[in-house]
Amino acid sequence: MTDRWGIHLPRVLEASDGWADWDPPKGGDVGLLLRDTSLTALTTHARSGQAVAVDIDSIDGLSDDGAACEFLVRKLGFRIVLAHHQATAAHIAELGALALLRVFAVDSTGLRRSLEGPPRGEGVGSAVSPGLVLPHLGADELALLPRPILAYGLIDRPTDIAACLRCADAIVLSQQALAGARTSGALAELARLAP
Amino acid sequence: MLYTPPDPATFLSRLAMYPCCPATTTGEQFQRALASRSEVVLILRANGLELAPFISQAHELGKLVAVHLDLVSGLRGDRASVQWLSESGADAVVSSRGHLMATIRHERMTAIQRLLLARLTQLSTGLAAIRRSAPDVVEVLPGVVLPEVRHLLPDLGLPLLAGGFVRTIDDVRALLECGALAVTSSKEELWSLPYD
Repeated sequence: MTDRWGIHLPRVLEASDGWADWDPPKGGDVGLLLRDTSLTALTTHARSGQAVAVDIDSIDGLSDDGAACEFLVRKLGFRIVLAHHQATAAHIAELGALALLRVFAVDSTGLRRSLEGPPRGEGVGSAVSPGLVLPHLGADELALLPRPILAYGLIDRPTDIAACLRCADAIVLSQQALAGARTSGALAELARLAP
Repeated sequence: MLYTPPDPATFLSRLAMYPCCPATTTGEQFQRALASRSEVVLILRANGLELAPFISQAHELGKLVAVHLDLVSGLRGDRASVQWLSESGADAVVSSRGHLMATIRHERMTAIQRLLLARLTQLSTGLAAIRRSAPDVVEVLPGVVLPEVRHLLPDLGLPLLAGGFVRTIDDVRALLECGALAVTSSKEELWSLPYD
């Protein structure tokens, strides 16, 4: 999926701490999500030219304030950033990157509560956790979620991958789950499924 | 006369009689839950400072009441708030805060700890917190995905509740079949069914 600024959100993001060398696999629309890692690991992926997203709240040593947003987007060149707080997501979007605001969907009451508040601006989508719940949401609940929608968490089996890709614009997979999808040869086909 | 809640075993046996427990978010829904056949009513959203008369009404009708400490308004989510709920007559308290489980049990209420399933890498942290805090019951959220992730959960030796996005009879049956003792739902048409 490519938005009006030309930012491409791959259909599949492989979760990684960023320390190992990484080449995008052939035959699939796959990018990288850097999470649970350090500032140093981030810098090794700066301006790599690859589709790399960052979970700003899980990077040791990194705040989520304006300076941190500008560092990620302007200095390191990341164009997709996941954030817990609406102000952080808004700042990322103002800088011209795609922000994905974390939405915790553990029950319908909590989902609606987490979507309360001022309307989001353009350039702010949703990162729904756990992503595995997305196929269980009603059409009215899916419609509440600003797009693009990233399904994030507990997506493991090929059937789960297919179900989530049908209702999300992109999904996060662990390295193990992605390897399983590659082995089964399903990745290229799954990545083409329209949401 | 001071109210004494039932012990956890009694609470659980009554919960299991009609295993889709009403989860209420308004006063009107609470009243409809009292009219259902369910033995236990869960209060999700309400003014936590004004619960005593509602809990008393439930007790007069032979129902037990569990209160979600993290979601009701007016309470901070500390030990004093647990004591307040005890004095209000609550039979069980639900919270994600593991450090409150001992206080809940000390107040002779049933302690229900929430396990939020968000990411696989965070699961071990949540499970470790439950082992440390030793609640009486674990509520898994979002419950609707429990059949898909049950294989990832070790046997904690604790009864499981499942709540979150449970909407159909088939959802409830699938959850009971995969080992949940009971289910919580705000869908009123599911409340009074025996699910034999």
